[in-house]
Amino acid sequence: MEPLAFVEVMGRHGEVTARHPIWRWPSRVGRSYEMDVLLDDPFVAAGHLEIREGPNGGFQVEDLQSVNGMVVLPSPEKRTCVEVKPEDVVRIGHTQLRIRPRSYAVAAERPILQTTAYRQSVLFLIVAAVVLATFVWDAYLTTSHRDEKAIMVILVALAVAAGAVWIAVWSLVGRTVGGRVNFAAHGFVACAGVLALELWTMAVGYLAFGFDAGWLETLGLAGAAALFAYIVYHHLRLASRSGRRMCAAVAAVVSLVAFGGAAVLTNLTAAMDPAVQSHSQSLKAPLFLMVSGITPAAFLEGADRLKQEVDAMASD
Amino acid sequence: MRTCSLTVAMSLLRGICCLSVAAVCIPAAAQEPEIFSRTHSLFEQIRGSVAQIRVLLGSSDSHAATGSGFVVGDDGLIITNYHVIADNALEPDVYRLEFVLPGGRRGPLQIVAIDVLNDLAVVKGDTGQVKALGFRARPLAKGDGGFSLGYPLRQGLTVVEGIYNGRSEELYYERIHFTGAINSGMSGGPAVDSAGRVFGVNVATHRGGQLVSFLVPAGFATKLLARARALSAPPPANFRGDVGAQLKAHDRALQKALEAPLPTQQLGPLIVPARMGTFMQCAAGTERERDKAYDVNSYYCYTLSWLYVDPKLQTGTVMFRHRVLRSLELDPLRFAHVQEMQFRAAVSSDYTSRKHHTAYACQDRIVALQGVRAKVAQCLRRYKLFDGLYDMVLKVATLGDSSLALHSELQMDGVSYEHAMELSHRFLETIRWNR
Repeated sequence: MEPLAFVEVMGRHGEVTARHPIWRWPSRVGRSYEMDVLLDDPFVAAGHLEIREGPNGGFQVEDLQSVNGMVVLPSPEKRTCVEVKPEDVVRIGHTQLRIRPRSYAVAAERPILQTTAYRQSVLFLIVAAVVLATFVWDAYLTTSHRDEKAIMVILVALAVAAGAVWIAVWSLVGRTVGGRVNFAAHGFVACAGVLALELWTMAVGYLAFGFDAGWLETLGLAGAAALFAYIVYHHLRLASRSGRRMCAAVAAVVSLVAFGGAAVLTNLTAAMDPAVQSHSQSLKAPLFLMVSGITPAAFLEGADRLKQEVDAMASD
Repeated sequence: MRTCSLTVAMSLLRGICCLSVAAVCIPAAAQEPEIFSRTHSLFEQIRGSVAQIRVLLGSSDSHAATGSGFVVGDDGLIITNYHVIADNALEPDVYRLEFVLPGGRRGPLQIVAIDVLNDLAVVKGDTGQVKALGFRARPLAKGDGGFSLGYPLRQGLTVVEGIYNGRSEELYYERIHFTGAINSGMSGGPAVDSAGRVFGVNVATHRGGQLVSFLVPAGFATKLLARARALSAPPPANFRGDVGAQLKAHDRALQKALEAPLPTQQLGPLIVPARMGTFMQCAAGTERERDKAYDVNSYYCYTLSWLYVDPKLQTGTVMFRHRVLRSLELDPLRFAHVQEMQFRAAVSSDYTSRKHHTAYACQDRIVALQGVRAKVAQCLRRYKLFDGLYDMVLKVATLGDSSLALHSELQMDGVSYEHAMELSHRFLETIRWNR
């Protein structure tokens, strides 16, 4: 004898947590031991549902006058008798159910993604080592006293701790939402991302300074926002079951909120506080300077724009 | 030195007061010297003419500030400091003025004329029959004694003895250096000779010093008084226009004082602008620490030309600073980072408020100076209440050497755009790196 259909109990994120075969019509669902499908949810009645074949090829489910009733998601409307399709999710008590016939056609096998390559711990460790080296270099550059090893250790330790927390949070999200930890893969994404961000920021900084191109700094910020979005996208792809589009949209929104919010906040502060002087503060070693510089007179001509700006502010 | 403000560290000043009283009182117990009886009769002769000036918030009786003043005519005119009545001059809808005479007579005051540059004001009230104080025609000689009167720290009318020490040698505007315990609250009170004739108006005290006080010479008061009496039009709704015009006049005068080619000084291979006149005070310092891998030598100068506008704004100064950063054992990249940190710090006046200033607008470029390229940043902000006045900051960081750099700043407060650009240009043109 073969089962006629399956009642699938769904987890919060769309995963199937239990699957019960149906051997006869009608079948009943509830907490009682007399039921065909037994549920342990205290918000479900002893006899809650009855399932039979529907007239239109689906399954007819009927609420057996339970206290909490039955809804077909996503609508909150209580139903007493309704025909459901294999994709519909029915909620009784706190339990979500789906009914699928034996003949249900499953999706094609998913190819193992190329991203698997970076799930290997070895790659993560290599990139992490490179990032650590850049942290040490950065810390070295920012010290200006004869003996600041302690400060360097603190700076590097702080950076490493922040990175570890970031990776751990994504792994935890992955474990909760997607059922996979993927620590090494998240580590690889985070480290490669930080490395890319550092290289990008450094390149833009030196180019903007060397060629006296202030606009590059603005472009640099936009680029950093895009890189950040790309990092978040990969974390999301690893951690969730959502598709590429969904992940890309969420990543874009996260980056936009983070970078856009910071930019808005900075501008607001500058507009509110008459002591803030917003100009490029980037100063690199003279050997990176590629331009011969403009004359003092040409520089001061640019002040006309400043005058117009502050005159407009004063007349507001 | 700061122009006399009404909010001073009270405890410190009380400490100084007590000391001086004790020093005088001990011999007094033994025998009453002649000077005391003279002071007493002088005090009795002029006390009735010295009023307390109160700045009150709205219709309340709460003091926003207090100062002193003295009656100069039967027409109810009183002379005081501009800084005593500044709140009312700029915001008459928020603050009002009141006088209180020793006999208890009190009443409202209206501003008739102001002189921001010399920190004087003529106000008018219904003073009744009060003896007007006269002015001394000839200046005193250095070493002559004098008496200053006023209401220090709300202690009631007080007379203070002091010594006339001639004109202050450093201040941009003419002030009498008077060695006497002038305290907060006495601002605007008269300084009189032994015959009771006014030779100066209390205006300021050196906060860091002992009894080093300043008076506005009486000549400026008589000029303002003449101007006030000649006025035919009723006083304006507020004095913002007048204050703005006087600030501009100050700026023009300062521009003229600074018009000579900039003097220079040599700092290692660098030639930089130096002290631009006797009204500029300069100082130097060094930041050298045992474990620091670089050192910084600083040189700065500023004009002693502050103008008090209101509690949130003092302006009218030009300041410049040079810092020579020298790497002792930093490689070029680390030294560049030190430079970046130094360049990042904002340079701005102590007086910054949204009431008076717009936000800064800034520009920065690589500029070719003589013998060296430099990153130059310039920021400009405008005064909201006074048309055509700006604060300007110019910052220069040379990029000529990977172990030596000059960071120079020029800061001009309350100047016209043209003045700011003209001095900035000369400042940039003067910096030179001799190879």
